[in-house]
Amino acid sequence: MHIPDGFLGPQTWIPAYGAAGAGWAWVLRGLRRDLRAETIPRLGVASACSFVLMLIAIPLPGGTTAHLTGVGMIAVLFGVRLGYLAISVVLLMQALLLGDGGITALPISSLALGLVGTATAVSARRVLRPLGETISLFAAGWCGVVAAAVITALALGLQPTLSHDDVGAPLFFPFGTATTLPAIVVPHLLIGILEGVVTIIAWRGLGKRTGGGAP
Amino acid sequence: MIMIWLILYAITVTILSLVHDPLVFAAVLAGTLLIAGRDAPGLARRALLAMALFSGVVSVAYAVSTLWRGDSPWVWLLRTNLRVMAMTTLTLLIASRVDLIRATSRLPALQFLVILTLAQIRSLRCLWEDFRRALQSRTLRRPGPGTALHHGGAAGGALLRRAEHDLEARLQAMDARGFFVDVDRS
Repeated sequence: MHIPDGFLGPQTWIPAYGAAGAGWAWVLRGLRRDLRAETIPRLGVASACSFVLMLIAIPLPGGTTAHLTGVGMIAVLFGVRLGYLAISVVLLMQALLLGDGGITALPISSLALGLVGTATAVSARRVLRPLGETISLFAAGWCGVVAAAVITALALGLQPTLSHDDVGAPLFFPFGTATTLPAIVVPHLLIGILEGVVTIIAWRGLGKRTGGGAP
Repeated sequence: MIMIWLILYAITVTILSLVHDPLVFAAVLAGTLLIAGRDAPGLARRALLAMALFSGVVSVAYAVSTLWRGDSPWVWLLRTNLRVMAMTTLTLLIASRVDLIRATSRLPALQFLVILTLAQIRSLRCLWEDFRRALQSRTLRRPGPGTALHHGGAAGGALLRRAEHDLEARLQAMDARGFFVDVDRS
């Protein structure tokens, strides 16, 4: 889900910065209240793990890349607020340190993974908790990454409609949602299985020591 | 100085996104490489590696689908790849010139998270390299998938424990220096 610079038009990334920026302001305002002494080391570890997981990318023909994200892991361990910020920081550092993912794509990726992904993961965990811890954790990982993939596919797939020249040729990403949705979402249905397993492992390794995980 | 670099960067990225002339992209790319000076070849190589996977796959898919319809893909291919190359090179140049920790100094909470994550990434990279070299020095032939998996799992667990311990120590050091004085520790 690392979209490089140059594939999203300003009609997409400028409003997305507005929305993501409002989210970052909201999170930063409550950050010091949300942080606990025992939470901070695990947040750093989880962010670093997410960074490492995101480095292993597989290109997808219809656009973008497929890789583990750690979105479910961060969501169940730290909740939506801290998760959104941690994933945004990870994406920013990947863009700046490695050129992996663009600065213009940062708000879309942050909203997709950090906000929609973590919110979906936390919701899935809450809804499925009566079925048992393992099932709810697996569902959190799977649902989080699939939801993020859907948002990314929609953002890319809308580019030919939003930005085209006089003869209708695309100016940025060239494929519509008919291509991006299956090309991006279907591989993530499988990647979601690994994401679910990572979420279970991370919860068993770190969750019980973070003071109960996501609020 | 950091703010000037960042403002210039934001303006240039916006312009690159608003115009669609390959000549402008080529000019920005040339200017970026000129500013990079001796670092230009390395910068160009890093940018190419960073964009190759995504841009390559999308470009090939677009070229095939367009040629299949009997249209010409060359304008889009030139424009998009030059734009992506110019933007990626510019971003990597800025990242090499701007210290991320100092750039976030106006937002202490964000700076704190950046320090934590950067420190962890650097520690994990060094430790992983140690483990990789340890495996290499103890195996005469290239390790099989089973050995590699076993080594990866063991190293991953060790890295996690070590990283957590290091981060706790780092937190205590930052706390002792008053960096985190107003955080609720209840």
